Parts: sequence; structure tokens; C-alpha cells
Amino acid sequence: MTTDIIGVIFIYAAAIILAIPLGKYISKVYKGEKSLLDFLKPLENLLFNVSGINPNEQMDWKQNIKALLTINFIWFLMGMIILVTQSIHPFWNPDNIPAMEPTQAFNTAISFLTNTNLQHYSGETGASYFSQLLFLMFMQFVSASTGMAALALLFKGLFNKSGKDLGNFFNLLVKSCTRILLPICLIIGTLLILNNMPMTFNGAQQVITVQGDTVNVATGPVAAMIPIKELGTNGGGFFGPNSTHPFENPNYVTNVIENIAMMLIPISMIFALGFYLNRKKFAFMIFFVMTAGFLFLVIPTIVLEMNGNPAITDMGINQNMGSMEGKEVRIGAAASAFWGIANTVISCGSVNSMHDSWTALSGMFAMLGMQLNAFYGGVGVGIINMFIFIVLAVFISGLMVGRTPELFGKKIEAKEVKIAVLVALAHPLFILGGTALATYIWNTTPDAVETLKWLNNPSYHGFSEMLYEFTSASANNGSGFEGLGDNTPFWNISTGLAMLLNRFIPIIGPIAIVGYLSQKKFIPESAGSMRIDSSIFGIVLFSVIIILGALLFFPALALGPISEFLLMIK
Amino acid sequence: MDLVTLILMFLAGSLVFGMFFLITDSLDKI
Repeated sequence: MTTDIIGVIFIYAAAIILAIPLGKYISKVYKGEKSLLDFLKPLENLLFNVSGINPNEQMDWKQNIKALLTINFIWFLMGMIILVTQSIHPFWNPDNIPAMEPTQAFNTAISFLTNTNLQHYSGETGASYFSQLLFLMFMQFVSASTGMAALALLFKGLFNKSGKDLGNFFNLLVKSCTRILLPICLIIGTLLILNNMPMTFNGAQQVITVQGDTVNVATGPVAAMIPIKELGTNGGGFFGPNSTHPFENPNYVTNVIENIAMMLIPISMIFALGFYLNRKKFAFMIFFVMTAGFLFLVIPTIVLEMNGNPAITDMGINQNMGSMEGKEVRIGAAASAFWGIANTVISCGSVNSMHDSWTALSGMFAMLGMQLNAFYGGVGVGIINMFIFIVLAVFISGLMVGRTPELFGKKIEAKEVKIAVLVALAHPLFILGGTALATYIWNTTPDAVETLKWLNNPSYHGFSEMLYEFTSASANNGSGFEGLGDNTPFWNISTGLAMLLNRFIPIIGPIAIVGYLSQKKFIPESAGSMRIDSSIFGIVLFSVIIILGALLFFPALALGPISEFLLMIK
Repeated sequence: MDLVTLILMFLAGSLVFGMFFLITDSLDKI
């Protein structure tokens, strides 16, 4: 038990320690200052020359957003075409994987486009090596870069004292890939191969088991995909069981490496913000708010999972190792719980245990992490989501103390608050609206178990499975509670739309806000200005996040995991 | 493969992206 806890503390501490220098480096990359990998410039220039882009062209927020949307639309079309034609690709399909069904392709294309990786297919049987590498893995790089580039636009907007230029989206997109993601992925990939992760283009291997049965064991270029899966907070696994699969997460060392990788960039972006704006105190305030939120979710989950399931204890079964149903013995209860909360909070969505088997309240904490969607968050978009809460907290604080709300010397006025409120409401709308629709269809369909084939668990747990699916899709997380039969037209289309809308509305809104702010007159901060890097503001910000989350999601959580918990202890 | 569903899926994605462009252009009027 003590070793388990030490392992978890090591993962968290290592991620934070590595994130500080990385944050400084990221800030230099986005500011265009001299940095370690400047020798890659000719490669970047080649890409810009081939695509006819001038990386030095300065664009305002609208031009940047339109550039972001256009390239993402092209990737959506590309993904659909690759996935529905994978059966006729001339190479990299040794296992003759068939073409994807259209609604599944729609869901998968959007899922990887939006950095969600909500997989309604199983990697080893649903996607060819061609699709895995040339679309899914490619999207894991560029979708992560899209989020990072969007955040770099936000940095520039906050940094500007005047002017409307936010930089060049394409330049930031390419630099995010070449200077940040690719080099770190090469290091992680090498470490994973050294720890026995497969990297081969051969098809499934035929193996004779000790019982004498012949089985086909799926393998493939796994080590190429896993580094970006974690580093880019994508979460989409090469295999269906994700990081519970022994080829995708062979041992405790790979578990540590993958867990650090997923936390690295989201945490480093907080420090990058401080270095970029030269407001380190403000960055530390955000770091402490996010860390408080993370600890508020992860500590009880670890305790619950290490104590075991009371229902199983009542059956007289020894749970010295904790609640081990749906968990890997080589990883253990504490590291599984830590990974699960880190993944839901960070919007990565890879799993190393089955969340459906977690104790009821742990399931609630995992959902809450995605519903609040403000603690660390995904690469780039984590800070972008937090920015909306910052605008709302500045506005509320301004009302409380009777001062004009200001953010870095720029007045927050009606337009900015309206946009922030609309963005803040989009997330719960799709979670709660989608779950309500699914519950209605389930309850009004005669013999739903046989007709719809969604739910195998009745009552509260079944509701939790549907709530989790929409929560995961809307938070662009991608993890699954599992147990839900989600490869149906309803789930493919509804969660596809939820992912798409909740990816781009929360990017468009905040970038528009900083675009409008950067055009406003700069008012130097004075003794009368409200300080937003103080601990008092940190408490207000944390309270805004928790109160909004509690008001919006508590009723739905009460119908699912909380009821299940109360039933279990009755 | 169901071609009608396939076309509908392409259309659905295109419509949502079209809506994002409209939102971007209309935020000035908020």
C-alpha cells in the first residue's frame, strides 16, 4: 500500500518538476525567441513553401479562427474518406480490416479531429494500420497542435497592450508539432520500445497457448502511436482495451512514463502562460487553483479504490489489494485511480482500468473532473477553458467590490461577459441535454434492452453510463465508462455532434474575447485596480468553478453515482 | 455501404462547420 502511494506521488511530482522548464521552453517557442530546436527552421520553411503560407503574416482573431476552422474542416473530410475506404487501401492492412460504417466513420473522424478519441470501434479489428498511422496518429499530432496554437493566440491577445494582431495560426500549429510534440514523442517512444512495447508492421501473430489452442494475437506499430496518445492528451488507444492492454502498457515503468507524459504539457502550459506574459504570480495562482481542484478529486478516489468495494467486502472476499475488479494487478489500485482521475481531469481519456468497475463515488469524481473541465485540462484547451472561468470570476469580483472588471489593464464589458456565459453554458447543455434525450429514448422504447441493446446495467448505473458518455464527448475527453453499447447510429451521431460543437465553440469564444480585449485601450494597473494574481482572487475563481459545477451537474450526479452509492451502503 | 447515410454524415459535418464560420462572423453583433 505504501509503495502504491509513493509511486503515485512520484508520478505527480515528476510531472510538475519537468513541466516548469518545459513551460519556459514553450513560451520561448511561441514568442519566437531563440530556442534549442531552431535548427528545424528549414524543415518548417519547406512545409510553408509547399503549402504557400507566409508564416510571418500577422492575422487578427477572426482570420486566425477561420484558418483554424478551414484546416480542421479539410481534416474532417480527409478522415471520413480514409475510414470509409480503408478496405481498399493498397498497403498497411495485413489483417484485411473492412471499411468503417458511415456513422462510425463520422464519429471516429470527429473524435480524432477534436482531440477526443472517443473510440466506438476496437483498434485491432476496426482500423487498418494505414488508418491508424495516416489518419488517427496524424490527427493526434495536429489536433493537439491545434489546441496549443489556439492557446498561443490567447497568450498573444493577453500580452498585447494595443493592436489586433494575434500572430499566425499556421506558424504556431507547425511549431507546436516540430518543436514541442515530435521531439518529446521521440524520447518517449524510445523509452517505451526499451520496455517491450511492440513496433512492427507485421499482422496478427499466431500463437499456440499452453492449452493447445491457436489464437491470433494482434500487434502492430504500437510504440509509434502511444507517445502522442498520451503527450497530446488524445487518449485513443491502438488496442480496444487501451492502456490496460499488456502491449500498450507493458509494466509499471511504462505506466509511470505514460502517466507523466499525459500530465506534462497541460501543466507546463500554466507555467508557459506565466513566462509568456511575464506574470509568474498569476500563473502560480492558476496552478494552485487547478492543483486544489485536482487533489479534491484524486485523493478521495485513491482512498475509495484502495479501500475496496463495500459490497464485495460484505460477501466475505478479501480486498487487501483494494478494489481490483477491472484493474490490472501489475498496476494496482492506487496507480489506476490516479491515472483515471488524471485522465478525466486532463481530457486525455486513455484508461488503464475499467471505470465502469470503479466504486460508485469514484465514478462520480471521474465524471466531475470532465464536467468542471477546468483543472489542468487538455493541451492548450485546458487554459482556454479556465480563461472563461477567469472572465466570469473577474466580472463577479468586480460586482462584489464595486469596481470596473479589468483583466491585465483591459476593461471586461458586456460583450466579453455574454460570450463567456454562452461558452460556459454550451458544455452542460450538451451533457445534460444529450443524457436527457438518451434516457427518454431508452424509457419510451418498448423492450429497449433487446431493441436498442445499449445498456446491460439497469437503473442508476445504466444512467451513469449514459451520463458518462455524453460527459466524455462534451469534455473532448474520450474515455468510456464501458458497459454501454455505443456503436449504434444514435450514439455515433449524437456524441459526434457533441464533440464537434464542444471543441470549437470553446475555442472560438475565448479567442474572440482576447481579440476584442486586445483592441481596447490599455489602462495601466494602479492601486485601485483589482488584483487577479492574489490568493483572494484564487479563492473566488475556485468557488466560481465549484458552485457553477455543483449547481449544473449535482442533480444529474444524484440520479446516477450518488444514488448507486446510497443503495450500496443501505 | 449505405451511400445515403454516408452523404448525410458528410453533410452534417459540413453544416456544423458552416455554422462555426457564421458564429465567428456574427460575434461582432453581440
